[in-house]
Amino acid sequence: MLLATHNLLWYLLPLTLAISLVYSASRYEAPSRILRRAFQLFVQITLFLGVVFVLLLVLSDGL
Amino acid sequence: MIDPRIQLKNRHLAAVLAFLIPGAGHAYQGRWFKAAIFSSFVLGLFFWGMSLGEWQVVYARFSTSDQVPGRSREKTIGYLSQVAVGLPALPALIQSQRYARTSSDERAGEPDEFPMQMTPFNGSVKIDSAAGHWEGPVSGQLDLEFKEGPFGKEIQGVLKVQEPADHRGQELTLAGNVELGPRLAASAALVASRDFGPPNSAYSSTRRAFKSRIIEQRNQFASPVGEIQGSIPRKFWDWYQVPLQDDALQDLNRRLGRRYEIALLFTWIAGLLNVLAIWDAYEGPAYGYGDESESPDGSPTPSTDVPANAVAMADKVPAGT
Repeated sequence: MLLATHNLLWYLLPLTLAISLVYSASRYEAPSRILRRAFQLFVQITLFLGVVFVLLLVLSDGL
Repeated sequence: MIDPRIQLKNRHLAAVLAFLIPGAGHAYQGRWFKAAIFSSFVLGLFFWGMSLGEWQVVYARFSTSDQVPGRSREKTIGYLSQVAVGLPALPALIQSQRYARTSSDERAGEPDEFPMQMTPFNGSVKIDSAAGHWEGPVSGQLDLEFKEGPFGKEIQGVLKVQEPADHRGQELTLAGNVELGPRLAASAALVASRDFGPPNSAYSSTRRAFKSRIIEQRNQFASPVGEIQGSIPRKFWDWYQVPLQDDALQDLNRRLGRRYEIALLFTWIAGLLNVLAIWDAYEGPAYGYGDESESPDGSPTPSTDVPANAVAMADKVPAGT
């Protein structure tokens, strides 16, 4: 069950990538700037999700 | 103020195009890099979500009918974000209207569907007649019509058997108690019955349940000698983005579990992202061109060379564009 849940979490990566790229593309015009900001945003969101995931995993230990 | 290097052309038209087909507005403006990003990621996310949800996650239901059994009374708020993807989600509005107009139970088929010619059938047959006993899988072509029977209008027809080979060419006469799955359904049970199928019965978008008695003429009377049960195809336009009935929705949730929620999420977010794209086509990028110097926190700060650069580029833009 836990494994199945983890597998579903992989879907968040392409979702995050799409959000980062489209959001950054709506902020800037220069391709290099769009790609750079999209990469930064992708890393930020992924790190945030990762921290929340680990936090919840630790808190749910033993439940 | 919009950077003069960005040509929005007719911004109203661009916004409409961006709504209809993600990326089309930017392609019209000649902003090809952004057109590629918006079209590939918005449409990719939308159709990936559709695929994950077995093409049944996008539908609109704004009017509810309390009198119709099996129909959900919940309204699809999520469609308000899905529809921002434009043309790929717009058929749901038409399907919603068609669905609202249908009667509560179309399982016997609608008269305007007939005659139904050369319809491929797959299923099973069971016959006990004077010629012998035959039971097993069967496939063939159905010719059905809606005409006057002994007890009023009914569906009658013939199954021309193609498989199994030892019965090829045989024609089975069908009449009385013909049961046909709903014509308009995103997904429906493959159990031909006037009641809803049992919870574990198979559901299908592309197939309609079909069941009929087989009759033989004996002493000028038609006698039932067996029955066929199986399915016939449902047309694409009769299931694509049609609202889900309660039982079909439960079946989808049971089979897909959280994948169904991911599918919904993808289509919702695709629509919301296209709102950003539409606004960008209309108003240009929110923070500027992007070659401004960047402050440590990542936000652009105006630099002295930007206006000069912008003016230099603006000089290169042909007059009147």
